[in-house]
Parts: sequence; C-alpha cells; structure tokens
Amino acid sequence: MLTFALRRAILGLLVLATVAVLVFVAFRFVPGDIVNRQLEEAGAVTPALLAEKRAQLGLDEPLPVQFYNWISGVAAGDLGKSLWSGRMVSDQIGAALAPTLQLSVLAILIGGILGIGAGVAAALWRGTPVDMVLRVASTVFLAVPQLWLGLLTLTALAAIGYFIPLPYRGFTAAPLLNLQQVVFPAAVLALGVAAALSRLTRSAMLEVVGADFIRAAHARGVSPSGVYLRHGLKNALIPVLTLLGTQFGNLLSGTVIIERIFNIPGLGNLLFESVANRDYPVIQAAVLTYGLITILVNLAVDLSYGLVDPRIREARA
Amino acid sequence: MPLQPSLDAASARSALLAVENVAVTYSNRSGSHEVCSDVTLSVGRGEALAVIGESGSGKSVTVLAVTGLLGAGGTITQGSIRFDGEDITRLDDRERRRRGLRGRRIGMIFQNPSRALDPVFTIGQQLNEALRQTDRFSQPELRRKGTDWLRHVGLPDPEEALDRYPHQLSGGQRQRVMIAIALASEPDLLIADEPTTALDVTIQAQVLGLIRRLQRELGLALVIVTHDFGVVAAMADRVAVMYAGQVVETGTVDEIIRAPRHPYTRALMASLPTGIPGTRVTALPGSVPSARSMPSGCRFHPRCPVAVPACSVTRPVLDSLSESRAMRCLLEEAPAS
Repeated sequence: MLTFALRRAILGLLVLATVAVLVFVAFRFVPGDIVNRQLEEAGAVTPALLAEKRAQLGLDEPLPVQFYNWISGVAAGDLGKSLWSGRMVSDQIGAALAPTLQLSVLAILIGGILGIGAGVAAALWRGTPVDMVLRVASTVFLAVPQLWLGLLTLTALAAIGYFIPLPYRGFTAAPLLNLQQVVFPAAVLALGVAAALSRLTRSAMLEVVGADFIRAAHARGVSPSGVYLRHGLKNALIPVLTLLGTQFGNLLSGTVIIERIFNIPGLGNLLFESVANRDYPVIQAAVLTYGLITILVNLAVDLSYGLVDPRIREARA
Repeated sequence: MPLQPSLDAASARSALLAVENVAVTYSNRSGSHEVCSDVTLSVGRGEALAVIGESGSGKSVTVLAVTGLLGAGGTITQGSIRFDGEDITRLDDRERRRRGLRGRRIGMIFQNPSRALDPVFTIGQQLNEALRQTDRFSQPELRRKGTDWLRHVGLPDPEEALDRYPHQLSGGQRQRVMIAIALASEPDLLIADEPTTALDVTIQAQVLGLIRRLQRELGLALVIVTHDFGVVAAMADRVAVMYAGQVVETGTVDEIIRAPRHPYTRALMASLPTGIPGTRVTALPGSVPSARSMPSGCRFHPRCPVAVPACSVTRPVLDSLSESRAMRCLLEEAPAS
C-alpha cells in the first residue's frame, strides 16, 4: 500500500514537471509581452526603452536560462514576483486558492450527491417516467456549456429581483454572505458533474442489480434499501469514483470562467487577469497549482478504490 | 387444461410447501413464453424432496417461483403455492418480507457460491444480515452466533472467517458460508438450487453430506434441485422428475430409482454410467424442447422410445398411481421392458 502511494507520488511529480515545461514554453509563444503592455499604458514606446525594461525583468535572456532561473526558484519554494504588481506570487496564489477550493469542493459534493442519487433512481425505476425525465435532464445538462448556464443563472436571478451581494467575502469572515455568493456558481458547476455521473451510475447499477448476490441478498431477507444502497451501490461505485476524479479536472477548468462570471477572486480570476497581462510568473504558478490539485485528487480517487473493494486493497498490499 | 385431482389431498393439506398446477411465464417486448407449466409438488416438515431434470426443464424456475425471485418479466400465471397453509402465490416483495418468507421461514442456497456472495462485504457482514432476521442482537451476540454457525458448517477458524471476504475462501468454503447464511435465520424450509454444480467433484460429497446432516438435525424441509441421480439417492426422501416445464413422475426415492415407470425417468436412469467397466451408457437423443416450440400432445413424445401415435395428440395428465406415486403418461400400463 505504501509503495503504491509512493509510486503514485513519483508519477505525480513527473506529471507536474511536464506541466511546468509546457506552460513555460507555451506562453512564450503567445504574441505580446508584459513590457509592451506596460509601456503602452505609459504611452511612450521606444525600442531602447523596451530593451531596457526587458533586461530589467530578465526577459532578454535565452529561454533555457529563464526556465532554469524559474524552476530552480520553484524547487526552492520561491514562485517569484508578479511582473505586473511586484507582489509575491505565492501570496497571490495563497489568497486565491481558498475560494477556488471551496467552490470546487462544494460543486463536487452537490454534483456527486445529485448525480449518484439520480443514477440510482433511474436504474431502480428503469423504463418509467422517472427514468425518462432523469435521462433527458442529464443529456441536456451534459450538452449545455457552463459559460451559458452561468450567464443564464445570473440573468434569471436578476429577473426575479435577486442580486448576489458583492464584494466577495471569505467563508471564515462572513459565512452566510459567502454561501450566498458561492452556492449559485457551485450549482452551475455541479449540474455538469451530476449529468455525467448519473448516466454512469445508472448503467453501473443496472449491471450490478442483475447479479446473483443481489438475488441472494433478497432471498435472505435484506430490506430493499439494504439490497440496493448497500450491496448495489457499493459494487457499482468503482467506475463512478473514476469518473468523479476526471470530472473534478473538468470542474476545475470550469471554475476559471465561472469565477469570472460570478466575481469570485479565486485562482481562475487570477489566471484570467495574468494571462491578459502576460504576467508569466503568475500564469505559471496558477497552472502548476491546478496541476497539483488535479494530481492530488486523482491520487485520492486511486486510494479510495481500496476502501471500496477488498480485492484491489489486497492486490496492492 | 383439465382440472386434475390433487395428488394426495391429505398430504397436500399437511404439507409445509404445496405447489399445485403452477405455470410461470416470462414476457418481454419480443413476446412471452411459458417456461413452466403445470408443476405440482409438495414437501412435508422434515422431509427432503429432490427435483430432477435436464437443464431447461424448469426446475430452477419452480423454486424461484416459490421464493418470489423470478426476476423481471416472470410471473406465476396459473396454479397456487401454499406455504404452511398460507397462499403465497401472488405476494409482492414487501409482503413476503413482512411474513418472513425471505430468509426467516424459507432459506435458499444458490448454484454458484462465488457469485451469490457479495464480493465487497465480509462473510460476517453478510451472515449478520441473516441473523438479524430472527431478532435484534448486539454486536458481540452477532459475532458469537456467527462464529457458531460457521463452526456448524465446518469452516476452519470460524472466528477469523467472519472478517474475511468471499474471494479469500475456497469454492467449497464459500458454499459452506452460503449454507450458514441460509440457516442462520432458522428457516423451516431450505431450498438448494443445484448447490454443488459449481464445486469440485471432491468437495461435492462433503457439501451434500453437510446439507443432509443439518437438514436432519434441524428437522428442516428440504427441496434440492439437481440434474444428478447420485444427489437424489444421497439427499432425498422423495423425487419429482421434471421435463419441459412439467412434473412427469413423482414417488419415493426408492420407488423411482428401483422401478422408474415414466419413459423419461427410465431414459434418465439408463443414461447414468454404472461404474462397471465395459457396460455402455444409453444416451437420450435430442434435447429439452424450448418454451417457444413445445411439441403437441405429450411434450416428451418426440424423444420417447415407446411413443404411440396418440402421444402426439393427447396431453397426458399427472395421474396418481398409488399414495406416494404419480405419473404423466398415456401408456400408464407402460411395458416393463
């Protein structure tokens, strides 16, 4: 079990390193850089000034050298300073992490409960109107883009005269206000997760419900809820957990646009602004943070298989 | 179908389980077919009945109908099933559970213990579900009773076995666990659907011996479904021979094995290897007809070695020959060849 976790951790680090290289290289090919943007605003652009400013920020050095400077800093725990504001990147990431984590955890919880619940219901009432409605709903929410759903939610709320209070407050600072701000974006993100999960849960449950051990459980007098929710769901859970992990990745990418729409000062908003400014250290740190979260979530999902299925637990021991 | 005189009215009334003229139909979108038509059998308290037939003869469906576990699309379309005097033919799942027909009064052992045990729950957890049918027990009580039952069925290290998962046991041990689970809720009737078919030959005798011993010790009624006359001889007091969804002959084990009368029973007996070197086994040609294309008249006539022209026209009924014996054949005075 421990060697398994260790193997996964090493693999995770390799993935993270790849992400670091990719994001570093990719953004250097995006036209326009921060010096241009800054001097544009100042209104005085001469080639000499540009070169001087670039040298100041270390952007004139060859790419490999720049990469080395950055990555050695990251390895030592120093994410550098924002080229735009001069603030420590780690402070900015730290401040933005909490809202994003809160939003995505809330969304995955709502989505998980809704999706698994709907999937179980659709499987147990297979072929009935309940099943039909749930299946149509899941197809619809799978197809609708989150961007559109987010804007629609805002518009609909405004139409009924409800405006989400602003500015954003943290959960610890003002729990009630914070929940009012977070629950709608979380619900928008959750619907996509729920749609994907319910379809898979339904088919996994249908497969399990036909198994001999389900009939045997009925035969020894186990209650219907015990048969379907204990025996049925636990056996159907492995593929569902896998999808939950990959859905978390999708959900994270969804938070970028949803945070923007709902004005939540999370990682997504930070990334959005830093991309607009070509603020390389912030972009790189934000993407690395997303990568790290995704890797940790997938690791957790992998480890959870063992909790569900003793055979997997043993194979790893 | 003509109304038949009850096999033996007196014994049917006192029987723990009485299945009379039961027909089972499975239907789906593509149509419906009767997989079981006109099954009549009964078991008294403490008595062991074997139901024997080829695969497709409807023997498993019959016992599933008794437990109400026919599954999607399966319904009892005719006849009645009485258990301990109650009509249980058309009860729904909830009512069956309320009356304790699931587990507490009727226990069931399945063909393949590897598939009938939930792989992600421990033996103890599954055994507890059965134990809780009888009473509310505390955790230590459940553990003690669970251990007792596993010891009863001859599992090595019963206490530790409670915390093991099905895949950590051998096939024979798994079937012992299934037996323990079926008996833990202290039923009056035990139904065993080909309990040894999925096991190694060397284990089969042990498991059969165990079932027979516990059945006698606990005074259980037993219905054992099998396709093996060896099992019948070892396990049962009475036999019902099934063919193509019907009971074709019933009698005591002694009567049927010593003097089978229905041509199908005789053909089954003749197809048994005798164990004597050099003797030939007479195979019964053909196979059980499918529910979609049942032969007219007697369902066995296309394969019957002694069929007469009338057999393809007239449907025989299950006539009682003596107090314990009945047969479904036009040639009741069948040649004693």
